Amino acid sequence: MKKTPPQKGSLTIIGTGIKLGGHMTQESMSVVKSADRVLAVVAEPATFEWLKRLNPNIKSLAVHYDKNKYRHQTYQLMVDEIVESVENGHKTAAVFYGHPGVFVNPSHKAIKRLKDLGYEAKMLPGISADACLFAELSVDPSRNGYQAYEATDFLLFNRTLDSSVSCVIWQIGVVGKMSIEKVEQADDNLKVLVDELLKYYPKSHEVILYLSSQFNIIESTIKRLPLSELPVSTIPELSTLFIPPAKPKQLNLTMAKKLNIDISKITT
Amino acid sequence: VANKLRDFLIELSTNEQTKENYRNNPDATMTNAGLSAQEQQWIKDGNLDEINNNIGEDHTAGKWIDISES
Repeated sequence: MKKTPPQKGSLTIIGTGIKLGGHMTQESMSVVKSADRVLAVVAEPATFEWLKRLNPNIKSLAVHYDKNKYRHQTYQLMVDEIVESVENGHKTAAVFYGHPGVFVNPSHKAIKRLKDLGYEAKMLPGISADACLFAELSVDPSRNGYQAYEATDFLLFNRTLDSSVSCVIWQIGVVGKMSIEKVEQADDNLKVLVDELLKYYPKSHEVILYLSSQFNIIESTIKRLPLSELPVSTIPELSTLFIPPAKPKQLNLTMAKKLNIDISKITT
Repeated sequence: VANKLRDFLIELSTNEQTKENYRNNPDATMTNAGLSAQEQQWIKDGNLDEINNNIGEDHTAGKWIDISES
């Protein structure tokens, strides 16, 4: 009698996007519906419930979060659970908030581990917070360029800025925070960040605090204020800071000549 | 566990008819969905903290980069 070969598991990493029910691609939704198992960490409970209706065989990976654990320990447990599901022969969909490859540590690690073990593992793109920001603030990143840093990373690793380029600073609500505890109000860390930004921008330069709403009936938070007022503002923990350019981009005439570009046709 | 506020938000995000009803008459649509006066007010105020705290078990992440591993 012919033996049935053991079922080989696989992994697809999915992003829900930011808005409940509206940002997940058709491709991703199809993967979730047809998965043997869905493992998820999402932005709010309604999205989890919505995923559960797409596929009842779902489990939350958020159980691994614990105030007493370092985040890298939590991420390791998530990776272990994803890998175990695939090793057990399940076609697994791991679902994360936003774009599953942006600010998501376990997604990249799970793919690497599974590929090293010879399994099929891939990631599908999702809508990230900066994609929402470009849409809602009418920013075209190709116009003035685009530089982006995580707030704590920006301070710790001596990053530099070009003030003629649009700038996004991620996670300014948790600058310098290494735990998963909630942050209720502005603190001295934000002042440290602003002091650093003031090396590149004037105090009066208008910046925008942005937080994309997860629900289609609630407006996103878009707060415009001078850079100097940032330390006394209440910052939602997942806010993004957008800093428009403070000076015009400079045309390099020598380069234009080398490239045979007629500068009369260039708009700045 | 049933949660009318959560179910209403899902309907609003995935059901065109509910969206249309809400656009035309938000108060009646929320009342018909069984939302309490307080829940309706949270939606009108855009109070994400209260909404998120009242739509069920938390499956959410502190989605922060672990720079200790950089």
